[in-house]
Amino acid sequence: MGANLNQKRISKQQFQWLQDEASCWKDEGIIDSQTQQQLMERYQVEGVTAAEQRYSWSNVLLISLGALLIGGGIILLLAHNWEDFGKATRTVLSFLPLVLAQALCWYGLQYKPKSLALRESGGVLLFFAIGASISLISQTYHIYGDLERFLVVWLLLGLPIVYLLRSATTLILISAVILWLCALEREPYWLFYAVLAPHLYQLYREQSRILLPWSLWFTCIGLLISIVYGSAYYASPLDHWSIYITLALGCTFYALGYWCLGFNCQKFWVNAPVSLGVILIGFVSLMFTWYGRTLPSDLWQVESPMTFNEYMILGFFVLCILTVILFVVRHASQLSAPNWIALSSFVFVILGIIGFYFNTGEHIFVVLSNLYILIGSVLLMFQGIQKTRLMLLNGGLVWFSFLVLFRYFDSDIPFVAKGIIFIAVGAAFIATNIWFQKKQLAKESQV
Amino acid sequence: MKLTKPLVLILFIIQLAVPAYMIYEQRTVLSEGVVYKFKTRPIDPLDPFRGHYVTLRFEANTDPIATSEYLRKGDWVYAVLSEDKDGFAQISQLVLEEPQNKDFIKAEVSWGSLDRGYYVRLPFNRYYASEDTAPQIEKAVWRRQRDEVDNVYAEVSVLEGKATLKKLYVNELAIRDYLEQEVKNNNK
Repeated sequence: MGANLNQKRISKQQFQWLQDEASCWKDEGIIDSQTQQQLMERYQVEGVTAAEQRYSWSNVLLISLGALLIGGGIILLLAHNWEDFGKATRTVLSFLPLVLAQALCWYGLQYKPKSLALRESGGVLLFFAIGASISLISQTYHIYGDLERFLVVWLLLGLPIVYLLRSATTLILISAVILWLCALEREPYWLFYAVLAPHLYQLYREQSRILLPWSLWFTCIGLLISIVYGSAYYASPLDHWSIYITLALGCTFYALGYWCLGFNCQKFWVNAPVSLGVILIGFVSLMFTWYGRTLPSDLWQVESPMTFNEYMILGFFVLCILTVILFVVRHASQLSAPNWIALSSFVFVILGIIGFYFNTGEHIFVVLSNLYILIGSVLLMFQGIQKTRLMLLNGGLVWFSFLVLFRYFDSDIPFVAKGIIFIAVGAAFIATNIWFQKKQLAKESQV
Repeated sequence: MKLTKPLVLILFIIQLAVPAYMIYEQRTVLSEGVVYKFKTRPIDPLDPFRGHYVTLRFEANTDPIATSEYLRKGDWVYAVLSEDKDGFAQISQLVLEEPQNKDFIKAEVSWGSLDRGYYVRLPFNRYYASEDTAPQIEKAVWRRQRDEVDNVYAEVSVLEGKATLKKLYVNELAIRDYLEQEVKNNNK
């Protein structure tokens, strides 16, 4: 323990570098394994200790899953409705899981403040215990069934757990409850996702390798579904706008992912906002290639009136647009070709807004989106080959394949026109490939 | 970081206080409220958190209720209570101002119109029972109602606009006693 107190705190990258160097020195005979160990013990990764990291990454997920199952089990046991117990016993029972979970959390806080596993499992159990407690009281006193009110009380009582116990698994559960509320009632409950942002930032600062990606995926997907569900439904005043709102959200995810997590963070699983943004951009741009559903409509001309939720979603749409513009302005010099390809889809959002005011035709969307995907996907494939990045190559291929598949089955284009376009694009592909190979050979012979 | 522990303690107290207040509120209504009998028909659905329950469809709410107020869906109103000639509760009026010297329930407007009257959501539409009992209640009561007995009602305690369900009765017998009697009759 004495040695631990004098440990110097260094970043994860520095620690990794030192570890690699130390093993090289040992292999070269400069130091022995004991010296290597002594050297490594002098340093500690910022945020969490190396020992804690070793323990937590392997265990925290399993322990959290265990706590999830136990929590669900408690709810089910209570849902059985033990009507033979009488009101007094059931009143005591309804507090029992809550008090036990609170005791576990307090024990963790008081005696094992560094135990990530205890913190996570305690948080999850406490979250479920709150739900169980309210459920049992509702059951005992036959309180009428308003699921929305029940979920809101549960959410409000559970939300502080995320911050006070710093439990990321609870954050995932809270994300699920917010999504549930949004699916239940078309009210702006999705604004609660904003309350989770500071904790996500905290996880980022702690360089949490498992909890941050999981939390980000859940939060981003929850926000996406809530917004799409809140805007796109039959007779919604925002129905025709939802495709633009979804695309703007995709671009915002993409921009924020690079802005907050850095341009080096490119792994699909780790940078959830960028990955989800790319999927959204790819999917929505493919939707634009069809006729029939893409024209924006006058918000105040439709039958159903605008409600508070719709106004909030419109406000969010404006915020997304501003975020993307700000990102492009601030980081224009850092953006690579694939970045520009993805962010170019933002043109369709702008076109949508212009179309709303100047009544642009549908053709412009269909022609531009087909060209956009054709050029974008080919450029991506080239980038993937040049930089030997398989992800880019595959992404470009999938995007291109979907475009080909969609156009092949497109009944709006006559067969002859389709046939000519297919032959022309295929020939262009082969020609480019031959030209590229020749160029490569010429390069190699020069060397 | 110094503040974490006091804040956690405050959170724990709030987490305990909310269910405690729910219990206090229900118990006050049960002990001090005026008891009304609401004629009803039960059906048995399931709630993933709170288990099985019987949804009660009250006769007092089968016809639209007359009112002189223009109301919209989601508005909160005061449903003024009275009793019919058989001693069952009925909603005589919907008003926006809190009534004086009359029993009433605060309820949410579900739908309706000014000329035809409005339907409201009564805040005691669930009777929780175990997964064995809930379907039995539904089965027994619906069979009874198709036959000759039309005497299913819920005892509801009403106090200052709040209402809590006390017990469910069939033929003047509490539902559990009634079900036990049914089992005995079937075994004979």
